Amino acid sequence: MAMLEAVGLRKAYGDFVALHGLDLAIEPGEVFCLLGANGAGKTTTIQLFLGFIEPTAGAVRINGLDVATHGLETKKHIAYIPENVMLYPNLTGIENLAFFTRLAGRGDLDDAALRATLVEAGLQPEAADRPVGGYSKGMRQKVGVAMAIAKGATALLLDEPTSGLDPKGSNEFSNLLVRLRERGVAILMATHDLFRSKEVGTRVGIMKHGRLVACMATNDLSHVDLERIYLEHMHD
Amino acid sequence: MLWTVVQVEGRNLLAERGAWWLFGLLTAFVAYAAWSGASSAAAHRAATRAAVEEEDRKLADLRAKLEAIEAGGPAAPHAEDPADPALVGAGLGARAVALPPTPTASIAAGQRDAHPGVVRLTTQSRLAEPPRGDVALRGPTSQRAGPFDLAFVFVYLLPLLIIALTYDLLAGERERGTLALVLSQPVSLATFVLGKSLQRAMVVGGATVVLAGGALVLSGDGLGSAEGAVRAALYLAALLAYATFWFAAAVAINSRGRSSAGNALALVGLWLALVVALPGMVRVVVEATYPPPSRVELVNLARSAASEIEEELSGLEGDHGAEADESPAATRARLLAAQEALDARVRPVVERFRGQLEAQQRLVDRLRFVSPAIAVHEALVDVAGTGAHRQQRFEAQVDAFHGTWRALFAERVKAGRPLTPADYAALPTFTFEDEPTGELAARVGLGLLGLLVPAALLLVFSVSGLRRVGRLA
Amino acid sequence: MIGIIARKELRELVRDGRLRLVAALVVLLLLASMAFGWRQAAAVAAEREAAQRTADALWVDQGDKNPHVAAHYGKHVFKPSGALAFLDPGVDPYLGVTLELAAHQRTLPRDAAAGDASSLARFGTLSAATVLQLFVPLLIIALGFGAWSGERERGTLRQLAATGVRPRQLLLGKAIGVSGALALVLLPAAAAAGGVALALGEGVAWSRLAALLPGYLAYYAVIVAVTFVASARARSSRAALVALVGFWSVTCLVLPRLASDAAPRVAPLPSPDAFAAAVKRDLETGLPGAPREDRVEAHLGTLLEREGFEGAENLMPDALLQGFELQAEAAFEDEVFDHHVEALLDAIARQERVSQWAAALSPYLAIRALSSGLAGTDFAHHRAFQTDAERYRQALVRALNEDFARNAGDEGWRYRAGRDLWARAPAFEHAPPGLGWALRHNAVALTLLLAWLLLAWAAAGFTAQRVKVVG
Repeated sequence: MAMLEAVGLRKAYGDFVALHGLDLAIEPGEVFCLLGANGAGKTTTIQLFLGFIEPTAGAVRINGLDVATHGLETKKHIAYIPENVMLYPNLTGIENLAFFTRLAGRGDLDDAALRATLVEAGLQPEAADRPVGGYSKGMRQKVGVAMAIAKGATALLLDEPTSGLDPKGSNEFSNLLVRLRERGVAILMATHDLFRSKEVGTRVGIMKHGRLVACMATNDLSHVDLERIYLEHMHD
Repeated sequence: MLWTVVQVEGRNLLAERGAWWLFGLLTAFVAYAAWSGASSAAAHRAATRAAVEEEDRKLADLRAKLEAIEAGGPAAPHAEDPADPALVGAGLGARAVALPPTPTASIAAGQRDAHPGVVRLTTQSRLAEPPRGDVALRGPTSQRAGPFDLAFVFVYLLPLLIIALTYDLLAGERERGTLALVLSQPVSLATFVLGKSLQRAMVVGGATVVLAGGALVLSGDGLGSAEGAVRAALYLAALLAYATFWFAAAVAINSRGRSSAGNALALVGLWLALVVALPGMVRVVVEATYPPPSRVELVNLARSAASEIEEELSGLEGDHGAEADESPAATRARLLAAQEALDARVRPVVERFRGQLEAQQRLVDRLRFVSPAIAVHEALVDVAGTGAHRQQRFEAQVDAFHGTWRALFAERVKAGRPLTPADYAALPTFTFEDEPTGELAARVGLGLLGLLVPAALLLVFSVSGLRRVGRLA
Repeated sequence: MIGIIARKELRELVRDGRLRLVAALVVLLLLASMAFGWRQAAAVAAEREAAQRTADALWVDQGDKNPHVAAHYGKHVFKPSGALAFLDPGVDPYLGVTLELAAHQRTLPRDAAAGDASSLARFGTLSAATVLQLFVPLLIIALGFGAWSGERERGTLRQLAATGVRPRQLLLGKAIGVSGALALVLLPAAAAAGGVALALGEGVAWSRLAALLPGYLAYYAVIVAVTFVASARARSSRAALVALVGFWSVTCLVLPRLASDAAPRVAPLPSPDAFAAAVKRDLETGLPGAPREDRVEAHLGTLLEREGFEGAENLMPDALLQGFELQAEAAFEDEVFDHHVEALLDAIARQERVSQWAAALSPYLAIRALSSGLAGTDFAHHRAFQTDAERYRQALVRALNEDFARNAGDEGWRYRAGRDLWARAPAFEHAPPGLGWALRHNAVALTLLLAWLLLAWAAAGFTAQRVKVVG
């Protein structure tokens, strides 16, 4: 059964249609990369999965549960990492992590376990007790990943998580995703980074004006092919 | 879940320097208000007690003098004869009565400075001639600004503190970007907002109880009595209900999903409307609906009534010349009769006065539900015993007592019977019968409903708003 | 350049729907409070005039009696309300209105309106002055808190700075923009105030009304400058807003109350009982160092000398001497009254000055004092009325005593004067002091307001020069 599923998903704001009947299914252990220009509907899709906005027609399901009717239930399975993981600046990294994992219903994790996840996510151990106000963007993204690990999320929703990261940070982040993928997490990632999509993704989809115009498996593609296909679609 | 939010929110608040400043400032204000309220209540208490004791002492002196004369001592001069009921009644002796302060008088000065603290009762008409100059002996600008009492701190400043702590309750999370992360967890927005406001409400509620309670303990007088305990409890209940209202208002405005600056403006606007503008307007409405008759006209009325009565009783006014024609006893009986007649003439106007003021207060009792600030202020002055209800009760009791007092002297003047030491001993004393605490609690409790019902409505309104804001833009 | 910026600012402010709503509410409140003030002022004026006519009639129709007995009977005068009370009732509601003028007593005005107010009185009155002094500053804060911080947050400040516009030009442009928006609110109010003044007619001092205008403009300029300083220095718009609301509540709410608490501690007043007792004591024995007998003797001597009866006491008719003695006694009593009452009034005046000096910490206190001073509703005007009334009382008593001395003859205390004499006493006239006098009595407030103006704008200029372009 697909972990993340969109069926005939449509979102309209008055006359403007942001999403025209999107169909999408992402299995566990799959990384689906959504490519497309700004305003193509990538973020809208992710927000629909998160239940932040309601679909005009169609449905989004997580682990078989409809987001519209089982909003809170579905959130137990997912983790969300936006472009900028914003945390409480006055709290330390470990305190932020503890807060969010407890909200996620994992109050059973003790301090050591939480620290271990932070290290697993790549944060230096000594940073855990510093207020988040002094963290770099990359460090905050790592706390975001730690949140996903600690929660035991089976689906990950990523909205341009690597834009603005330096190449090293971006590389570390990709490695984390690969590890999660290997554990059987289903990942939906909106991104502009063709290179990373090819590296991390199992499938890529190209969106344009609210439609998924292409969808292909990455192991059939070279980097050059992907770029060519993408640019072809971007030409009108 | 709720508790997790509360805990993290607590840690967030602890880390905020601004919040420490705000609480420090509130503590300083409350401490100063408690000190100021206690010192002015104590000064009032001492001044009234001194005045009452002074008159009691004068009466005791007169009695001692009378006993000395009866025991064969030298006679007193005519103008100081302690056996002459007319002279003693007209002012040689008097009974000073005062509204006793409640144990919680330091909470609110209320209308204390607008009323004479002490009333001296003689056989003179109290109605035609209000006590002189008692209002003028205070700096007018000080009176206008009002005292820095606990009622001021809590009615005006507590809401501002609550606004400062809550205007960005939700908007701040959105602007910082943390809201998206929170809402990607299995927690509903309502739970989250409730947890956050609950934490701040607990902190503010706790601080209010500690500060307000501490201030009362330091500034009160006789809180140990049953009455004191009831009043203290009502006072704390009123403050908590008021704080609840402002929290509900803050949550409601946050639930509309505006920016934090927009929320702050809206909340300050609401504060201005409810705490400053509306009470002023309600006052205008109340005074226009039941305007008190003109004091200025009363002056002329009393005066023309007095001259007509003088004419009827055909006599002279003043110290000079009159005594030669008639016996002192006759003069005094005539003057007493004049005072009684004057009282009868002026009474309808004065009754109208009191009627209008009572009607005003009844209207205020209804209109207090228009603004929580009025509701809580009325509750606080009621609890402090410096409000209109207690004052009007006092006036009525003083009136009745004055009647007894005058009748006692008038009877002896008319019968030509001199006062004896036994008469002095039997002179009545005034004790103020306070409103039963049950009635007070009922009235104050009704006022608190005026705070809690709107608070509940605002919370219901917020829940519907939060459902919509849950969809992130 | 400045003009371009100002126009853009104004356009932005006027297009903000919420600001339009708030401004409309302020205008409405201002007009309503002025209309109410007008009604009130007209009613009070009519009532007091009528009462004064009745009181004068009572005096004239008091019947035949000995002139000194008439002096005991006395006369009431009623204080006319301040020239611009409809705009700013000031402390008038807390001051007595009725003054009884009679022999052997100097009373203080009584029947202050505050004595009959409902328990809502503690919330203050909602007059046009309240709106102008308390509400309009909040409107200015709402208009201007984002002037700098908002541009910084949106990133437009960077672009403005990149165009090479000088900070001072930007500052002036923004100030003109906010002032323009404010003018849209205040012009209707100013027009309405002029209209009411016209309708109220002669009693109004136009010069006072004209002087109020620059006073309020200076006050608003201070608030605009403070708003700009906060906006330029704060980390964010919301921080600026919070700081400004804090400034407003401290200067407009907390400080006035603190000043009102401090004033009686700086200049304590005697309790009514203590005051009455001190006057009574000195009337019996004389002021310290001037025993009663000596002073009465001295006054009598002066009187006799002036009238040419020096050393001829034994040859004078009884009534003549008695009349002079009454007058000598009255002169002595006036000394005692003057001493005590003036000391009391001085103490009250000192309390008022404490409030004025507190304006060093709060521009609101400066405009509050200045505004009620110009409106003729402050304590100084009240005292001027009392001084006039006391002078009138002394003259009245003197005239009556002298009539008694000259005309009683053999009748002595049985001598009666009538309507002719009562009607001969001039009516009491109190001309309110002029504009210069009012300004002099509020010199402290005026100076402090100007100091605020200079300092606030110096600070605004200074911060504008150093404003951080990026957050």
